[in-house]
Amino acid sequence: MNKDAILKHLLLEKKRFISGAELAGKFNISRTAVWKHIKALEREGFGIEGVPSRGYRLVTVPDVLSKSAITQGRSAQMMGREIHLFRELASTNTVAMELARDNAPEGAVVLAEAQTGGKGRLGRTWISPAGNLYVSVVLRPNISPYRAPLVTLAGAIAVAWAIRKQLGIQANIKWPNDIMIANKKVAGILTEMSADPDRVKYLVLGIGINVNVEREALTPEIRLLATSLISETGSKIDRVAFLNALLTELEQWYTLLLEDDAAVLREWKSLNMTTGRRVAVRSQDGVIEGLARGIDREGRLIIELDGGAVHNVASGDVTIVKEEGPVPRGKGQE
Amino acid sequence: MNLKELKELIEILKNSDISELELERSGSKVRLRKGGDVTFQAMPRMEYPPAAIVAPAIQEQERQAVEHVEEAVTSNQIRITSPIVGTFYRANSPDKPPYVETGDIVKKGQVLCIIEAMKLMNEIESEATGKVVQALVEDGQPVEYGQPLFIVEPV
Repeated sequence: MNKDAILKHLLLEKKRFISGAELAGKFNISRTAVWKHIKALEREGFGIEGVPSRGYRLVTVPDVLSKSAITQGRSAQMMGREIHLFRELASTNTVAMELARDNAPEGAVVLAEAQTGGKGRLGRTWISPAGNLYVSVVLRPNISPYRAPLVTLAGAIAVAWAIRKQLGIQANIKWPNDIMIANKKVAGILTEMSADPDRVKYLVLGIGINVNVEREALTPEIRLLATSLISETGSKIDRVAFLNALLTELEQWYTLLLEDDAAVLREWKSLNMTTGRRVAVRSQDGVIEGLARGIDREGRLIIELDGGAVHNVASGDVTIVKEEGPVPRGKGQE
Repeated sequence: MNLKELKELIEILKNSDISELELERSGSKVRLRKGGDVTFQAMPRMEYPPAAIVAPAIQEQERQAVEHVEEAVTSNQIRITSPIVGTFYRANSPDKPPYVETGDIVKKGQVLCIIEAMKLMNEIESEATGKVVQALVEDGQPVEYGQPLFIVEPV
């Protein structure tokens, strides 16, 4: 608490020195306690200049996630009300599921600087070096399980808007919840749920965003398909500020979903880049190809096959098929 | 045919002099009779939410699966059903062994399979301690809301 307060004071008074005595008086602690808190902040990566007889001055905010910096900048009410931050985890989702099982409140967040076993679909891995954001949020929506996939759509909208508002970059959504910048994936969402037949007990929205790791650092195969925020903007992203923008957006879209899911579906449709395109969906069963017509009320992708048959697809890897030559017009084009 | 259409049919029947109505369309058939029971034929999907539209081939598979179960379940056995529409996986990764095999003894709360919808992974747990009598769905197949996945015989 005192550490947070001291940090806030230093942040507000960024330009000038504040004496240890002033801080001690302000928070009613000893000057030795102030010194200890300053040291703790330095260990979290804050650059604090200490000059005898003048006091302390905050020089740099680290590109390290710190609980106090996140809490100071947080404007969300529920999202991030509890923050569990780790230097390295196998998977933030796994830890968040365990916390949820042990009654962690809705909005609890698990963060890791790096993951050694970041999860993708079907045992795939999400490559998770330090410098990006790996965040899992515990949610307890009072809805039926069959509507739970809509939460992942709200999550994708939140990520897209955090990128748009914070960085001014056009981010779009590829069905169901990949966040894309100019046809390259910048973020993905993997959700895990525990449910009774008629009610969601809890779910964990796991979001991985490529932030400050340059595209050049990715393997050549992945580089073709993926990008990062630093590569798109050309400058280092303040991850703490970005995370707080994300938590705010998540709170807004999740709250809206519980009140009015049709509004969330509309927003998803306006941000998505899949519908109206020719797509191939690969599943364990094989590949189907057709025109992506839209999504149904539960978020499934409606695909019209060439013969006219319609499939509502709940899962699979979607690729947008590049048309050879002129795009055929007429039947099926929206 | 969805629930709304069925309701409309019932309305039509109620407000008419007809006592019985039978309608067959795209492979599904419904027969309604006034003053008696409503009879469904080959329409086990009616217990699912109306929004689900699935290709006819898939419907056929489900129908077979459901009918199969109707025969198999005895009074002391329980069906583990899917709470969502999605894809059924017997393991959490294609190169991993299945969570359970037929004949395995499982504990209450033990994970039996995963249903995925839109990258939402739902681990389905056994509702009872018992023996897995039958696995009803093939790995990687689509499943409907309420569709039986396993039969477990409590011990």
